[in-house]
Amino acid sequence: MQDAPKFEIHVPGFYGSVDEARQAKGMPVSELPPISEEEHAIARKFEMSDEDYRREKLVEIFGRQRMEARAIALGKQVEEILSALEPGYRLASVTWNFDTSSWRLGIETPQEKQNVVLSWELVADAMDSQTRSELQRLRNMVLFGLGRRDLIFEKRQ
Amino acid sequence: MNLAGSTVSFHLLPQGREALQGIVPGKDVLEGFVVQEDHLGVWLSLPELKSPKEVVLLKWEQFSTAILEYEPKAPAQRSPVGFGH
Repeated sequence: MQDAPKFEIHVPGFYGSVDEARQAKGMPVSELPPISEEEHAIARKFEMSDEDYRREKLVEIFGRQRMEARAIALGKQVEEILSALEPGYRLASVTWNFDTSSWRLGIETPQEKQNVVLSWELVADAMDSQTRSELQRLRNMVLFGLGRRDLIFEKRQ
Repeated sequence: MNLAGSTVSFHLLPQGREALQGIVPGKDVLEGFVVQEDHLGVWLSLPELKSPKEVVLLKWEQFSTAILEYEPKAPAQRSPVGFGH
């Protein structure tokens, strides 16, 4: 079992993926999540059957799980980046911003708490590929966000 | 390819050398860290700039070639479906 992350994660908005929709569609009814009276009323309002609503709800659950897993993986990668810096840097939170499709990292530094914003695309490239060059891009953007340009150019100085 | 996050060597055209004369005089090849790219060009962090968060714009028409390390990456993600939550 993996250790619980030492940082907060927030994923207030997301979409289900095509694969998650397909997976939910193939689930037997007995394994679909239950719905509340309020959700039942919403389903009626949108002229959906309870079963269809429960499948949509399952897509949402899959999507949330995927985004939380992504937030944790990103956070652990950022913790590794910060661990190479001098003491006093700590990742406090990882937050998904649905409106801008970006991740916001709350990072405590020896001076103050700073927010570093990373695009969805940059994070996906790094976390999905795990190649050295993509992880280096992620590291560089975190360092730049923290005002540590010196570490991006250090090999060349 | 998105250059943001990469350190890249740009071969400057004459108009690029002239535009950056006050920051990096006499350089034919400019090495910088790409913070962002947009329709104007690439926004660069350079060791020569005063502030660690200061960036300079290198316009697309001011360089001829960009050189960087590259590794193939995963295909683009499929489009999402359903309602946003």
